[in-house]
Amino acid sequence: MLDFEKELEKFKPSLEVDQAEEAIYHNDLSDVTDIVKDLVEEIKNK
Amino acid sequence: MICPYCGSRLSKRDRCDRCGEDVSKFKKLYMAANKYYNNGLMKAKIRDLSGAIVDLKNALKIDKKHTDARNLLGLIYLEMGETVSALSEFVISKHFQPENPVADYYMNLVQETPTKLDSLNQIVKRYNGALAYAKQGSDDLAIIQLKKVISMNPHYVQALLLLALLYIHAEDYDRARKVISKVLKVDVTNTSALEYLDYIKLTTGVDTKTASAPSSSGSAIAKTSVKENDVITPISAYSEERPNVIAWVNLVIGIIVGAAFILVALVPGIKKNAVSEQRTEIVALGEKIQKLEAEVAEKDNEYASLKQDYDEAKYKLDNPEVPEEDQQVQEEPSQYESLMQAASYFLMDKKDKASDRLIEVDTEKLELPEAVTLYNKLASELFAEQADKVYDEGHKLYSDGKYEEALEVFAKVLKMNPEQLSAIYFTGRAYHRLEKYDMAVEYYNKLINEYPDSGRAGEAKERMAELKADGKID
Repeated sequence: MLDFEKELEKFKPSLEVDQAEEAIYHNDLSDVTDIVKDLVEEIKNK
Repeated sequence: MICPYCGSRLSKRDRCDRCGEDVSKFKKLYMAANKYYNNGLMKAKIRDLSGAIVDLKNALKIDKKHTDARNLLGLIYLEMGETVSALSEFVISKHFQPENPVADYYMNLVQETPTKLDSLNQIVKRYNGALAYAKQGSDDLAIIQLKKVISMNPHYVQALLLLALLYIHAEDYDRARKVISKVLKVDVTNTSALEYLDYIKLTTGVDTKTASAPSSSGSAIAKTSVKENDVITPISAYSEERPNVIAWVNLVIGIIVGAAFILVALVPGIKKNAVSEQRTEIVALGEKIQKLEAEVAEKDNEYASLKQDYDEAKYKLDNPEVPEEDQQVQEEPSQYESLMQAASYFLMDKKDKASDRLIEVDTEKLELPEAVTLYNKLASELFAEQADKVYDEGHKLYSDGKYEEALEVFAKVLKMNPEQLSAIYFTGRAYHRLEKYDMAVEYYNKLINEYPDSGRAGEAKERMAELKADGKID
């Protein structure tokens, strides 16, 4: 059985153009490469 | 593949040719990211856009600088009507790779005119408005808004899905099915669309495939169960065409009224917009000119001050009645000439030539404290930036087998920055190649003794071991 209210909750407002700058700045850009790089640095500094 | 430490392109070796760091682990990560990207690309080609998004996001979690994956993700967002998310990906892609024709192309596509971006934003705003109506329970208003949104962008997946959900809620399953089929044309594995379709099938008991399949006979006979005694009456599609004069008259009147409206209402507005845009442009250009004039005036002042210093120094050199303490200066005029030439090139923004001249200056022979200050100022401005550039030239000469020339360039680099470890290492390598083993050992030992923790020291040890194994040194 499809729960209309629950399905409706899944829909989120799309980003508007004036929110683009905020979306770019708050984008979490850390990746696995960064983590590995930090680990290598830590091991080197020990 | 790009080195995570210095940003230069990696070769097949496990160490970076430029900075000498061990990059073997990063190469494995980059290969995993590439695999995800390839999967994403394959899925995108068969329009499994939801699947492609998952793979591309995984690729970017491993390697955020994978601009191919980011550009493809942006393109998929664009296809699904998520304009701002697409633009964000292209902007980030440009940040990591400024020379990025793919991102440029798609960004220009969206922003080719100010009105295009504005109209795309209007579509998003309408969708957000429709979603708010739906959440307030005003389904009819939401449906009206969503129909407008879809007429403006028929690929807007979120809008199509919301419209389908509202039709299902209103138990209008035929319309819902049609809207879902539009979603599946854009994204063949869209989970929500498939879930809604299953729900409709369960509720109505009609298989979607047969219901949506076009009629093969093309006749207008109703699809009902036929019994033996029933009389089937085909509905004739033929009717006599009659000329409809009123429709043509209405069309002509419509065109005239439309043209009049454009002339009266729209043209002045367009002209006004054009004038205001030109004014803004003029103001911006005015500001730019003022800024440039200020910069020129600043450079003029700096030049005048340096010229004065130069004239004073030259006067002291040319004047035969120089005081005793300045006699040493007269003996070494070339140091000051080089310094002044370096300052002059620096003011002309010719940093390459300025640093070439500055290297010629021997600071120990500069007696005037002002000259030493000037030298230090120029060195701090030029050497840090130029050392890496000059090193790249030297490395290229080394790679081309021009070892003698490379040695000259590396010597320049080390004068600018004595701690440029790669320059020290490749000086040793160049001597090694030229079979001047004593000199090579001197530079390898410098790395091993003075910078024991660096990657280059490790490489220097390997080279020393090679020399010993070959019997070139004791």
